[in-house]
Amino acid sequence: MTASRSLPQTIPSDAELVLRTRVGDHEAFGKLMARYRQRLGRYAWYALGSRDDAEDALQDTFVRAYRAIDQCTHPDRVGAWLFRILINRCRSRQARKSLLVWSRDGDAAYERASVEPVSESAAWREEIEHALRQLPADQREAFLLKHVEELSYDEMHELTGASHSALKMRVKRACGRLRLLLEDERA
Amino acid sequence: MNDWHEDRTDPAIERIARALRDAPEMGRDVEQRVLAVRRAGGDVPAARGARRRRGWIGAGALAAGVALVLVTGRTRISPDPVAPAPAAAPIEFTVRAPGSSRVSIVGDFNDWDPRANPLTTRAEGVWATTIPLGPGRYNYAFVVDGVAWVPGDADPRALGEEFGTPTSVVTVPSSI
Repeated sequence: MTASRSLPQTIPSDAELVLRTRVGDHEAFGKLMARYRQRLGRYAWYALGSRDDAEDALQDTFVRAYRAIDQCTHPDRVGAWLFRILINRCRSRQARKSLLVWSRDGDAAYERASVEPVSESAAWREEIEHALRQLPADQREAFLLKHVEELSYDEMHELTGASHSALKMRVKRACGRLRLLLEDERA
Repeated sequence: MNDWHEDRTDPAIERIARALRDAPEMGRDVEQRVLAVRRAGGDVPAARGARRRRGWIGAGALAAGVALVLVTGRTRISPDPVAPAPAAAPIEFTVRAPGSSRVSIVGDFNDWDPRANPLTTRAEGVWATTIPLGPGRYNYAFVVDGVAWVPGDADPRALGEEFGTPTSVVTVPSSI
């Protein structure tokens, strides 16, 4: 994975924190967690549809990563490595649970998506989350990585193992499905 | 690298994405919880069970600094007809790792902790351990000399290499 705007380098660098963690510096791993928890947690929340599940998946990811820190072969890309662990954790959890199907109307959500300015409300976001949960898991995953996490298809390929063409198709289908869901509710 | 714009044709999709990016704070105390778990050491889930099963695995090769040829295996010991129905079954994992000084197993069942389940030598470079596992699917790998991760050839490879190294998946059925 190449460096991108979505995986910025900061001081101390990720690589430095990984190396310090490997020699027993707990605080260094704490800094890594603080650096990535919001982004990873956000993905888990939308992927799993539950804040509690997301928090569990996030903790599980960090515990596993901490114990396997020696297996992080590219410390400068620990963010991508963490993301890959999280995606697998989310996939495992998704396989064990059935997501709730949204039964609320989505008309207002699509209406607002077309006209509202940047300052979307939390309530609107919640409606969109419900719509998102109606997507098949692979489409939801692709949509989140592409549009919410702003990853390139190269990065998505590295994280998910899916081909570029498959990912593009999932993203397009997800977008189309979201539009359809919201438009149908509006009609 | 940036093929981002090709999907950004619908302003509604972009606004949806922007709203989703603006999520409330997540994992506020996760650092404390994770570090507490870490300090507690290898938290191996309490395992129960008495029934056993037997099976064999295959062979594999690996290079890790010093080249090693390994044969990995997992033995399921056959059921004990007099034992009460348990929630977990002892599953024996074996690996041939001649010349290695220590071998352990990491997996979903021990939070991928290399210290949790060390293997002991049997004969001719064969290392083994038995782990009680309840019904389910478990990703796992062997850790040789604390460095090399070796999948178990008896089981299919896991889809998606979680830690960037290959692992295997063992499935323990609900009735064995």
